[in-house]
This record gives sequence, structure tokens and C-alpha cells, in this order.
Amino acid sequence: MATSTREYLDPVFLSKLANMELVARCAVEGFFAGLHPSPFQGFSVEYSDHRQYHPGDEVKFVDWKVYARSDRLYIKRFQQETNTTVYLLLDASRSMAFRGGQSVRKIDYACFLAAALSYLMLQQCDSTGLVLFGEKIRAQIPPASKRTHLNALLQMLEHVEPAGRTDLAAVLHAVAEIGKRRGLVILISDLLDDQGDILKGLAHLKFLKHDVIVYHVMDHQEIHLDYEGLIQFEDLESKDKVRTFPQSIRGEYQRQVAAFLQDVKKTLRNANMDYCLLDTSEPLDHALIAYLARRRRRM
Amino acid sequence: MTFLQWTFLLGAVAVIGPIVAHLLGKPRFRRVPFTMLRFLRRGQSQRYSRRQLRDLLILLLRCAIVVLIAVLFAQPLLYVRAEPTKPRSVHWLALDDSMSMAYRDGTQTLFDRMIGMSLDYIRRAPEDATFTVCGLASGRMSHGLTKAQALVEIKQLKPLPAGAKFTELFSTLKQAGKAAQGEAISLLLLSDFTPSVLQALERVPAPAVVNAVHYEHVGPRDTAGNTAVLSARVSSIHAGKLSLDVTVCHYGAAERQCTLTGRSPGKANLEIGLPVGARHASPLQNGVPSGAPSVTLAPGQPRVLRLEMELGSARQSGGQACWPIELRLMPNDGLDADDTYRLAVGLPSDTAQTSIVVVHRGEETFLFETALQALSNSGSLPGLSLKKVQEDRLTASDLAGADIVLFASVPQLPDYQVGALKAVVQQGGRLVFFTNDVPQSGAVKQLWGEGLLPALPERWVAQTTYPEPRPAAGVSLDLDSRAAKSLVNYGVDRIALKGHWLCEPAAPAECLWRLAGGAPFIYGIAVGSGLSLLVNTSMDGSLGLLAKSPAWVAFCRYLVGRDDPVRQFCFSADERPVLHVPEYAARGPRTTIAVENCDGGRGAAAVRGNRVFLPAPTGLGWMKTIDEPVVYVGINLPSGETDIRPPADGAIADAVQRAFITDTREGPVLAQVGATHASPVLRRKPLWRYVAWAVILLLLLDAALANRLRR
Repeated sequence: MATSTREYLDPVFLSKLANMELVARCAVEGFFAGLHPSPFQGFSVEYSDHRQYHPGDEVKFVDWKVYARSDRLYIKRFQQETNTTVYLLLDASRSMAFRGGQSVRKIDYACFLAAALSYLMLQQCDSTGLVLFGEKIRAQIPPASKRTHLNALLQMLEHVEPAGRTDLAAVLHAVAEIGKRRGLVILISDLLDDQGDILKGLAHLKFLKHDVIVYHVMDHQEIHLDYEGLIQFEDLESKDKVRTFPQSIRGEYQRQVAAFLQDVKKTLRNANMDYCLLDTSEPLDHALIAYLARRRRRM
Repeated sequence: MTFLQWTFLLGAVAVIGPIVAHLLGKPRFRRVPFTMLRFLRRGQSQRYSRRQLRDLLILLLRCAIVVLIAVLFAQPLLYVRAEPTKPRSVHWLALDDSMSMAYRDGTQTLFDRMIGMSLDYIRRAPEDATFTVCGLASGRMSHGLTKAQALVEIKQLKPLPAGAKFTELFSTLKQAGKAAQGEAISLLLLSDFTPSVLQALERVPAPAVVNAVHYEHVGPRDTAGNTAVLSARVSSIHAGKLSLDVTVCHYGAAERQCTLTGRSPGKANLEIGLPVGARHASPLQNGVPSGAPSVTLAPGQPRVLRLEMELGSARQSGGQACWPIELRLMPNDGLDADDTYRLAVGLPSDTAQTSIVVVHRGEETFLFETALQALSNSGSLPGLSLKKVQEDRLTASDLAGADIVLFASVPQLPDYQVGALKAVVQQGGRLVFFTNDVPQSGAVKQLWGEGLLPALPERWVAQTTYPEPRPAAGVSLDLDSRAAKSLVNYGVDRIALKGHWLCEPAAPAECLWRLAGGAPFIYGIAVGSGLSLLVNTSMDGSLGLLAKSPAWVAFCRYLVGRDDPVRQFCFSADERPVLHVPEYAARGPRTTIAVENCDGGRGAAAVRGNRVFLPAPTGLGWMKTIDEPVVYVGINLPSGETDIRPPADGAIADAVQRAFITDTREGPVLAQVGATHASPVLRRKPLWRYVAWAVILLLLLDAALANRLRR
């Protein structure tokens, strides 16, 4: 992907944009502008537009009529039509308010991702719903596929403020009860809850034949603990305190976090769920690629 | 264990500091909100206990450092039993070859006895022993001698007219102690331990470390004592007679009758009077001629005897600049070298008078004239002729024959008067300038350019100031030294001056006296055999309280006085003679002159200004310049070499114990030299080197631990 287009996926850049719609459009279109050739268009039936032929494009998509008229090669592109139902589960607990260093807050990053995914899904006429949760479900928008539905989703994302503790398992069970129609469940969370409970909740969704993608949002400092000097760490949710020299425990911490992440990843893979670890200091393209890969497998 | 400076142990109380700091100190931290505390806690618990352990360790380290530093300053010594090992032995023989050892005690001198003891010592030492022989007075030192070489070296020593010095012995001993690997240094110290030897031993800066120290007091067996001429100086010249004060001392236990006679070598017609108060005694013992005048000397109390001589015969005897006088004390005693004292006297001219011309612009010299009159009345300015002339009426005839010309202000003289002024100063006269204003005319610059005016006043600084307590030392120009000393007694540094002038000095001018802030007070410049001075204040007002103080007369004498018209040339054999001889400065720009040393050998003396730097004396006797005018210099025994009384009980042991530290490794048992006075072997091991290393290691450890804690 070209560097210039990747800038549009940078969370710090996106945080400076005025509204969530602009964020979503910028992220998605920036993402696709960098893909060359596009693997995700040209396989549907509804005409979308033309674009200039580039070496490597499949010859079967060349519009020969246009070539006959203009003596130029153009590729004919089509709009995809599906009827998938997507549930976006966004963790808005207090721990998502964490921000270490220069990157954005985890909640902001998660909102950008949710907005970009909503935009992308509604472009493809997927029914998209949104669930905000902390200890329990705080707000939800039922799935719909109308273009105007995007405004409702983005408006909710624009006003998300993290609060409360996390009880992910309970929320997942509740969503399983709500989501009557099987579809794609996208969980965007920092997974700071009991690991076994989370897995039980996700297993419940899987049992109901949902496809599950877990976006594990973590800050760079949470992964690497790059602090120096004597620091008193205060938990955002429980208000617990730990005073330590991070440099003296960094190695041990990193080992434990790596083991935790590896464990989560292994467990979810074994349960046939997609897992994508997101560092808030990284651009959004990894997340979008993960989604599109799963989406393609469903086609 | 013991401590040389145990009071420093009190410094260990400072250990409270790190403990209090540890108890009160709270680490500064910053608060950071975080999420994954469960992962932090797992590593934290064991880290925290480790950190507490390290904190405690570092506290203990710092306490140990404080205590060890206190112990280090206290200089610990450890008493250790000597091990019976016998490393390779090096025998150091420190032998006192000073002149006091030449005292004849019966049939042989103390020196001969010392040499005999040394030879016995060497002969009894093991065959493979190595010797170092050190002459304490001569500084002669020979290292790495075999037994045979040491015997030869010892026999080559002879008494020298100098005092015993320990500086070189101690520095060499320290170097040898550092270089010694598997060697045991045994020191044998043989001396008469006169008070001067004990003082020299006490003045060593730091004790030397050796394996064993033996000493032996080589003193006279009889108690007859020694009688010596300690010093002689010219007391006065009055009514054509020269008076000499001669200090003699008898160091025996009982009273003694002596005669003091004087003569001038090579001048048979000179007669020196008998001591005042001497009486003709009936036949005396100890070889004093019957009927000779004698004085009685009490034991241990210096007595001053006055000799008088007619100056007329001396002046007619050759007109030389210097008159050698040899004073001899009879009867002879064990030490001949201190029975004769040599003193050369430079006599003033018999027409001594001082002609002073005071040049002024107004009535501003009243206080100065009064001071001169007082000096004349007191005899400090013999035959004072004071002439007062107004500056614009000064003529060449006023300056003719003047010894001192004093200007109340820097004058603006025409060319021909500058020439007359120059003639005065080149013939040994003196110019003294006070400063009243900034001179404007070119004539003043001519004075300055020709070197007659030492400095050119440029700007008045109206700021109260004070002179330094005494004139500058180490300058080549000498003014009246007695006046300078008396000025110190008056406390001139507490007398305020109203200000001073900033001056541009002539190139060869010197600053003879400074003000408290460092600004020059008096400039001087040598012109021919004369001298020109500039006082950068005015005579009437700026000198302020000085002109009205009792110091004023001494200050005027400092400016116009001649330093001791009767010059005396006598030195001890261990000092380098420096003579004040203006006659040589008057004879043109010579840098060296030929001299004859005490042993008759020739050498060269350096001439700088009116000072003559003679070569080091080669013995006792006379040194003299070969060039005219002939100057004699008497070289005498150093004062400390005359007192050969035995030291008090325990004084030698105390001095040796302070000066030497013996290491634990005892050397081979030495031959018992002088069984009556052999000293015990000291076995104390200095520990401060180890303590210092421990402090350094702990400091490094502390730094490493503290650095580790920050991580």
C-alpha cells in the first residue's frame, strides 16, 4: 500500500477530522485507493463505474465496447450486493479511555474502526447494527441496510464516552439473545475481563452460527510498558494502585502480556473465530483487511 | 589496634546522616492511569522485596563508608606479632656526620666512635646483607653496597660544618619502601642527638615505614661540656671606636673561665680590646695563660661580651671595603670549630654626613623637615645638613654634594638641571619624589624617560586606602631594613591614606611597596649606584593620618635612610651567602666577579644590582672577592652544632617513635650495637592503606547498586 494513502488510515490523522462520516469515508476510501489492483470489486452484477486498465487486471473485465469506440482500455466495475447482517459490538468501558503517549485513546481508535466498517458495510448493502456496552449494553441500533442508516450509526459513535467496568461475557450472552438472524459479529474491545468468561460468551455466538471477528484494541504502552522512573499506576476501572519502577519489571511484563495475547489468539483460532490485535499507534488497514478477508470467505 | 589521630573517630557520628535520610526519604513518583495492573502485580511483589533488600544493603554500605572514612582519618595501626620469617635484609646506616660529632671526647672524637660502631655493625651483619650508607649532614648516600663496599664507604665519611638533615633520608626511605619486594629494611641511626638533630627529626612531614629501627646515642662521656662563640655583631660606632657584641655560651655542667681574644687575619698592627668586664685572674686551669683577662661563664646561659677597637688604625690599614675580624675563645675544648668566630665588617666613611636638599613649591614640607630633624637628633642621620630650596630657584650649586634630593612635587626642571640631578644619583645619591598633581610639561617626561623618575603620575584616585603591612619582599632594591621593620611595629596597614595616583611606571622600575588593593604605593629605580623613589601621594595632604602618626618618622627614615652603614658579612656554613655591596653596582654592568672560597679554591659570584650571590661555602673560614674592593665573608659553624649536651631521658625514643613506623615483617636480628641504649623494635602495622582501598571499593559498589536501583 502506498505511503501517501496510508496516511489517511493513521488514527492520529483521523482524530483531527471534523466528523465521524468524514472519518469513515476517509479511512475506507484511503484504504481502497491504496489497493492495486482491487481484489474486492468486479465480481458482482450491478454496474458501478469504469476505471482505466492497469497491467495485471483480468482481461475478462475489459469493456471491449468502450475500447471499440475510444481505442482505450477500461475496466468495468460492479457494485456488490449482499444481505449479510453485521453486529458491531463496541466496548465502551472505562478501560477503553486509556491513552499512552502520543497515540489516540483506545475508544477513539475503536470508534474510527467501527465507523469505517459501518461505512464499508453499508456501501455493500449489508445490514449493520451497533451495540455499545460496558458492564451491560448501554445502547444499541438494530441492523439495517439503508444508506441513511449510516448517519444513525455515526452519530452514536460520535458521542461515545467510556464509562463503567467491563463484563464482556454478560454482554455477549445478551447479544446472542438479541441477534436472532445469524450474521457476522464484530467485537471491538480490549478484552480486559476474565478470559474464560469471554470465551464462553463468544462460544455462545458461535453456537448460534454467527461468524465472529474479534478486534483486540490495545495501546502501545499496554503491550510494551515503555515508561521510565518510579510510577504509581492506577487502574482506570478498579482504582487499584501499583507503585513500581517499570524498567525493572518490563521484561517480565512483556512476557506475560505476550503469553496472554498468544493464549487469546490460540483460543479464538481454535474456536474458528478471527482475531486481530490492533495497536492504537498503527493505521487501521490491518483491521479492514481482516474484515474483508472474513467477508470474502462468507461470499 | 590503636589510632594516631583518634579524635577523627568522632566523625563516625555522621553515620546518623544516611540513616535519617533513609528513614525520612520518600521516593518521588508520578501517577499514571493504566489498565493491565494484573500483569504489573505479578512481577512487582518479588521485585519489591528485592528492592527493599537493596535499599537496606545500600544503607549499610553508606554507613560503612562514613565509618571507614572516619577510621581512615584516624590512621589506625595494628599491633601484630612479628613473624619469624627472614626476608632479604637491607641495612640502612644513617650516620650523623655533622660538625658536632667532631667533639673530642678523651682520646677520640664522637665521630670516630660512631665510625667504629658502624664498622662493627657491618662486620656482624650476615654475609649476604646489602647496605645503604647515608650521611645526614653531607647528604651523601650510597645504595646497594656489599659488606666490603660498605666498610670502605663508611671510612670515607668525615665531619662537615653543617647540621644533620633528614629530608633526603626519609624521601629515599619511602621510595625504597614502595620498591622493596620481599626485602626487610633495618635502619641503624647513630648520632649525638643534639637538640638540633631532635628538632630536625621532629620536623619530618610524615613517618617512614621500615621493618626495624635501632638507634644509638653517640654522646660525650665526660660532662665538661663545650664552650662556643655563638654570634657576633657590630653594636655601635662611637667616638672613633667600633663596639662588637659577642655572644658566648658554655654547655657544661659547671662554671668555666674563658678568655676571648680578637685578631684580624694578615693585619698584625690591629688591636682588639679585651671584653668589657673581663678581669685579670690568678693562674687559670685548662691551659689559659696566666695573667690573661678572663670571664666566667655560667652553664647553659649565653653571655654577651663587648669588645671595642679603635677605628683609626683600621681605616689606615689599607682602605679596604671590608675588615675581617676573627674572635677566638680560649682555652680549647673538645670542639675547636666553634671556638673561633669570623665576622667581616664593612666600615662607613669617617666623614659620614648626610646632605639633604628639599625642593618645594610652597610651605608643604613642614612635617617632613620635622621628621628629618628628629632623625638627626636620634643619630639615625649623622651630620645632617638640610637645605630647603624653592623649585623655581633651584640651581646646580644647590645639588652639588647632595646625598638626597627630595621633591615635594614632581618638578618641571630644565635640561641642565636634569643633568645635575642625574650626576647626584649616579654617584650614589638618592632622589625622592612626592606627587601633588599631574605634571604636564615635557620636562617631566624627560625625567621619566631618562629613568630618573620611576613612574609618571596620570590620574588621582580619591579613595581612602591603606598601605600593606610591610614593603614588598624579594625586590632587588633595598631601602632601610630597620626602618621597614619598625614600620611594621607601628601597624601602618591600619593608617588611612586619602588616596593615591595611578602612575605609568618606567620600564626597569620596581614596586617597593603596595597599597592594600594592590595598587603601587612606592616605586623605585636604580640609577648608577644611586636610587630614585616615587611616593604616589602628596606629602602634605594625601598621606593623611600617616603624616601625623608616630610612624611618620620611621616612614621618612625608610625613604631617606641608608641601610646600616656598618655592613656585617658572616654566614653559617649551611647557607648561601648573599652580600649587599653597592660598590660593585657602581663599577658598571658586571654580572660575575671572581671569589675565593674557604678552601682556597676559586669560583664566580653573580652580581645583580647591588647584591652579590656567592657560591656555597666549602667549609669554615673566610671567603673573599678577588676583585677590588675586596669583601671578606666569615663562614661559621651553624648554631645548632655547638650544643652537644645529652638529650633528656626518653627524648630520643619519643622522636624516633614519631619519625618511624615499623612494619610487621621483622628483619633479621641485628647486631646489638651499644647494648646500653639499644631501642626496642616497634611492630605496628599501618592499616590506613587497606581502609582507603575499602572505602574506594565500597564507593564503587555503592555507585553500582544505586545505578541498579534506578532501573
